[in-house]
Amino acid sequence: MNKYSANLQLKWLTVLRHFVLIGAVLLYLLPFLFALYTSFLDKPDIGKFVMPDRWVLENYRYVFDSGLLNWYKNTAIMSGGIILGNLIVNTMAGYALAKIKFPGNKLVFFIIIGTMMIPAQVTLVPIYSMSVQLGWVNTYQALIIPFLTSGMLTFFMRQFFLSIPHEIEEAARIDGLGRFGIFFRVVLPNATTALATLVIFAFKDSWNSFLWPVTLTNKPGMHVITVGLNALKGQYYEWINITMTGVVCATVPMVIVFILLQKYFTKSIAMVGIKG
Amino acid sequence: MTTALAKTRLSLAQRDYVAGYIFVAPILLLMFVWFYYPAFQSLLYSFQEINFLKMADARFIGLGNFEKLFADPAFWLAAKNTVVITAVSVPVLVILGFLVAYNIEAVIRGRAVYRTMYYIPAVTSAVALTISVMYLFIERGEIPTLLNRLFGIPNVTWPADTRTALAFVCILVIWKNLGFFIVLFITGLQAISNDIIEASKVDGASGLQRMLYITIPQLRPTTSLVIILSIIWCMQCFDEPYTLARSGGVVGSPAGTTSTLVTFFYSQNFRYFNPGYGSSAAFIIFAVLMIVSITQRALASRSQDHA
Repeated sequence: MNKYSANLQLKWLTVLRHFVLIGAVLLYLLPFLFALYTSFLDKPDIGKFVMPDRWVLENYRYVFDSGLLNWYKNTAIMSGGIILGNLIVNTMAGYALAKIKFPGNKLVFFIIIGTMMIPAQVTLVPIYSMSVQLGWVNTYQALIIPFLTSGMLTFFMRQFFLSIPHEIEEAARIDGLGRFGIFFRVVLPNATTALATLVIFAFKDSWNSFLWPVTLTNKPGMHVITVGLNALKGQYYEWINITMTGVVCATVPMVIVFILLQKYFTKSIAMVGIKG
Repeated sequence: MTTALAKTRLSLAQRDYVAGYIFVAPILLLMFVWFYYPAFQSLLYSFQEINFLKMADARFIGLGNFEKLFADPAFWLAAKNTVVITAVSVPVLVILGFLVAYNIEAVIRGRAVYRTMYYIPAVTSAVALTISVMYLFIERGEIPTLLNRLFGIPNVTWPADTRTALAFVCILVIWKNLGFFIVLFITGLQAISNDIIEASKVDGASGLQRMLYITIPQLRPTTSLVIILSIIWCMQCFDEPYTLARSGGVVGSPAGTTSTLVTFFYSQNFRYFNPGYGSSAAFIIFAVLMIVSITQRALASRSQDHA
């Protein structure tokens, strides 16, 4: 085989690959495209293919009237609290585990990692009854306080801090900074990628969480987006267009955030993936 | 002079210890209160007979819950379904995840776009995905009709028919998780040293040979991570069957064909108000996951010894 025909073959293979990849991704994203399309349909047009001139925004009004803004608000408060807590607590612990050789460091490490071994559902009922005793059912505390820590994210931050060279901290120490000074003024400003990653993962998990909110709240006013969407499905089971509008409203914010920050996502998965 | 120096050093080190404890104090406090204490409570529940509405009347019954569990057909159905979901989804996730990642890495233009697009389902919620896929599998819809013509699968509403509901849950689990594993495989592929690939090209290996004899063996750490994670996620499958159940309906419908270990556990707690019994099921999940992860670790270290 001469070089020319080998190149030609390679070209055809690449074209074929693009063909398959595009076809597969369209199929893979079909449910979302279908949801987006259906969300614009008027009731008589459900299940038909109609041109954009027949599309309506009516369904979005229904979803807004069902309390969408309130669901967004509840989800934002829940996610915001969880992200902030995880950011502070996991970062501090990850730093200490990586850089401070205090007695018991290893033990603390195993206590934190141990939480990854036990499925979180085991704690569901006791946490529910603790919330009942504290009077926290249907409050934001119940949605936030139990979820401020993450073994996985602490492990991830520890791995990251281990990769920061020792010299930087030594220099700061010679300049007379204590541990806290080093942590806040030297280490954190150099950790933005890892911190962004932590935020993204905590955001993804809290925005999409369902089992916990559906257990710890039961008042429609406290619905987060996933619970609201599930209620919408029950209420408008026959009206696909309205349910699909709910799907779009639950999905779009997360997808936008992901596309904006996707370079951190891939980087972070590479870090966790290779180490894991 | 030297003792004075040693003294300041020691106190510096001690001050550093204090800083270390201050840094880990919040996470330890939170984890003990909101994870270890409830997990221990749950362990105690599994040896008790408890009515959720009258928690104070709980009494210890030894291994009674476990005995009842092993005699309960509903538990075995849930266990069987969980095993089926895992056994079907894990190989599909591994093979599809690898093939898509391999082809994305093989093209040059558009790589980043593909990576982003294929990851989108992984950042969305299982509830949203379940609802939108559900409406694609409605009786006489395009997909069930096509699958009926091609494979003779009954043309029914998949999530509502006892013959197809479990297969539908598998489809959902694969759909939800594939994107994450594609990205994991991509990072694994990028970590393979270029020298090996180049050397094989010089030796005249074909594309297929390279994939079979170089890429796949080199990818072993990633593959084992994908397998262990997908087993853990499949074993904990809950959101999909929960969303499939119509409001007020029994989770695991129709007729328990989509019940999983976690939905069983959930129903026992929140539908039948029987947390003792439910917790014993949760610890079965825990025990199985422990066995899986220990086995995986043992296999991984053995294959490392051989390498």
